[in-house]
Amino acid sequence: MTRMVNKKRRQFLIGSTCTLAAVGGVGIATPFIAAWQPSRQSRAAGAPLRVDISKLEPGQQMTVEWQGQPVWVVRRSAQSVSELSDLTSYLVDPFSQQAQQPSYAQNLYRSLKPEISVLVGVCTHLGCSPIYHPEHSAQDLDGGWRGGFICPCHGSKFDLAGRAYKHFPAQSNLVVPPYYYKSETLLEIGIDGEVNG
Amino acid sequence: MALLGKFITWLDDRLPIKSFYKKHFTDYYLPKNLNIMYVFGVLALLLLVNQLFSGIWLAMSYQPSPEKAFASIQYIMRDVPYGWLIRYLHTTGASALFIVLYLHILRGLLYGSYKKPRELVWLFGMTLYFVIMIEGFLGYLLPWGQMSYWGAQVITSIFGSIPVIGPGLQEWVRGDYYVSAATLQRFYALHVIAFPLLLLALLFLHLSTLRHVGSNNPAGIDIKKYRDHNGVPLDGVAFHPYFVTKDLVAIGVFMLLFCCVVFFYPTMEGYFLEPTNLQPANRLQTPEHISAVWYFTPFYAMLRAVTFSLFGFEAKFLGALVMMLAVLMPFFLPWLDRSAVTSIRYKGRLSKLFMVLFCLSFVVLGVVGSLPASLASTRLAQVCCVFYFAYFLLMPWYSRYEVTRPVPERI
Amino acid sequence: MSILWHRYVCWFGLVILSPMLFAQGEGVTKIVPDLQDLESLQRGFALYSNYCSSCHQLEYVRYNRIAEDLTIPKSLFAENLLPKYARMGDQITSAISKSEAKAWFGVVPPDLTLAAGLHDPNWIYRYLQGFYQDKSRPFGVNNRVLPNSMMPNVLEHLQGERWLRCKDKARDFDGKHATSVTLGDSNCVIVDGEIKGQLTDQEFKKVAYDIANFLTYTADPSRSKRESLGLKVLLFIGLFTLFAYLLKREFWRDLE
Repeated sequence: MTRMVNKKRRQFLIGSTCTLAAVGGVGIATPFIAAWQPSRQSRAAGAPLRVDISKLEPGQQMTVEWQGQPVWVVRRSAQSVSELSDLTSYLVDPFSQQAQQPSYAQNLYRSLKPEISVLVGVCTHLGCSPIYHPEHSAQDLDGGWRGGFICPCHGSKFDLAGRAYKHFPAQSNLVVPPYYYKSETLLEIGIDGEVNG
Repeated sequence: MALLGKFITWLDDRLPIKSFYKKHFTDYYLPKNLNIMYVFGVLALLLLVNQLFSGIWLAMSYQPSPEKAFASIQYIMRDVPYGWLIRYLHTTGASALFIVLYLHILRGLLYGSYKKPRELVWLFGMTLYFVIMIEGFLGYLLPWGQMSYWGAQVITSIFGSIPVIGPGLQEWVRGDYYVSAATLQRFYALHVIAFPLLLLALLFLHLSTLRHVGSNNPAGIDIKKYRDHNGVPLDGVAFHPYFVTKDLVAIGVFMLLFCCVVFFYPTMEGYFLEPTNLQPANRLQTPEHISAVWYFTPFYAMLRAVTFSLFGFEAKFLGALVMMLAVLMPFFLPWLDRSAVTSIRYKGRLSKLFMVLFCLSFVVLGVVGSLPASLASTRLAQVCCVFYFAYFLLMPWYSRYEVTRPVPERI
Repeated sequence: MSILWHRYVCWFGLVILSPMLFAQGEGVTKIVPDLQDLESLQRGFALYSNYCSSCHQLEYVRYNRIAEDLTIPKSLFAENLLPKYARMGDQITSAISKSEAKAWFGVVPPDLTLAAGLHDPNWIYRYLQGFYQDKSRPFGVNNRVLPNSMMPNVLEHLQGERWLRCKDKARDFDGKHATSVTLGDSNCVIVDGEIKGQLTDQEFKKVAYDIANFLTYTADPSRSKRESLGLKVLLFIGLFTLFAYLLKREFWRDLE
């Protein structure tokens, strides 16, 4: 006990051993944390989805499931498309400034083709699924309603491009999922384009 | 730094961490002559923590139903990120835990760690071992493979061999006429909740009693007799930093071996994970060669060694009785050992002879239990059974009357 | 004390290493699966798709996992190797239903995902080469490795007909009498029959090897990753142990 202690060496060894132990701890934690990520099964279930829209009539909505969420495909009538530009003053984000859509859908229609709208059917307020109301007259919004989606939970309202109306709980537009046209009538939802490799 | 100090003081006023640290780390003294046999306790603790965490994570993806259990294991192995690693940690951990426990118990036998004043440490420890055996057996059913199924079928049939109450008891344990969904689900509940809780409680008692009476050592000499003027045992060395750093080295070496198996030999040539279990359970067809998983084979061999009826009892009941007694025998050691000395080092020739015979017979029983039964192997198992029990039952006699060597006063 | 400690460590290391040393000296007839040989695995998958997949499932394997692990470009895989009814993330199921299979073969053809773990790669390798003509069997062939196997020899046009010849004249075998022989029966050998296959003996051995190799992969798809990760983990723990040992020695000097 009376021997001289090389304090520097001791400090170095304590420091390096503790550091290594800490690194080891992080190493052990890694697989346990990674294990909570979606499994291959979940990823397979959430893989891009092909949707045939050849039978979709103007004004009709179809709902498909992608990554456990409802995704709507709506064929808007020519009138509805032309009316989209009239609603600007009623909307929170009429020009889709917020990043709620892929860049190729950041336009007036929020879609690749003006008549086909693809939206994730989950309200941006608290996650309920809004209901499709194509009729013009149902809502009195000082004449600002041209058909759209209304959330049953807290009454948030969206137009046919999924844009949120002012003065309602949801303050962001509905999300547009990544998608592209595999052919004229075949949509692939969940992916920006063909994969190579 | 000052803030941290303040916080620690604040905390210490409410939770005695400083005095705990002092009492159990810096001012806790262990005999200076502890050898390699004394690392298995901390390794067992490490493995229990490993089982706990890997087990919790497995339970997140496992599905306890006959239809889904087998597939959910493959789901863990293939679809869950790092699921294979977590499962191999759990399966290798189970086998490693038994290796470590057998060495830990051997240490206790060699150096007389069960003797006064450590009787309770020993009893809690043996109960822990018993509970871990049940835990292992319960967990073995969960993958719902052929070995899982038929192993559970055989072991639950043991209950049926008990006279009078047997058949009813067997159905009660299974919750059905055969090993079924009911059995699987209750085994799952017991494996992941009930027994781990019991295990933690026993672990706390094992460690509390140990810390209260202090560790034994290879010489079996009490270090508390001779103290310096501060009351520090002269042959004692503080737990922290000396034994903590020593344990760290042991943990490092052990982890090297453990990870060697986990990453390169996870099935250990079929001993840790049996190939037959890669078939889903089929209750209409028993696999050709079925044996217990390796850590049960010594007791399994005893079960098979009794091939005769006695006093009107059936052989299978007697076999189960022998097996049960074999597990229970060590519990009585503190009162069977009448020797004046503690450690094997100072015991006489008879003690050493019986000790060697006991260890050999346990190993031989283990080997025999893993092989298909034959006439010769059954005879061998019967002989080994006799040596196994002789070690315990003759101990009051040979330990008292043999000539022991003088024990030094200090280490 | 510390010298003793050292010796124990070496001793323990030896115990663990010894199985590896023994494993090196195994018999020459055994194949060694090589999961790094991606070309063999790719051929194995193609062979499985062509000859096995209509009856045998790989229930726990997903198409995209195979594409990923065997480094087959996804678009190429989707166009050429993916069945029309399947998606890339699907598990590999066989075309026939279990009840149909039961009606045709008398047994449900087993799932092959774990076959190489249940038996071993060598078993599969020898099984695929072990067929011989036996007119008493439902599909006209028997198997030396698995006597009275219910499987037809789907690779027969590659391998050619095989005949059983026994030393024992009474059992001399021309494909008309029923005699099943076990693997260990040294009185019988399998010889080439009259109808030759498309492949030479060596080429057919390679076919059997590729299938066995591929099934070794499906039984334990994470093995390559496991072993490469394991090496890093061992190196790290080795380093940690070294430092822990130096630290322990540093403190224990106090007590000398």
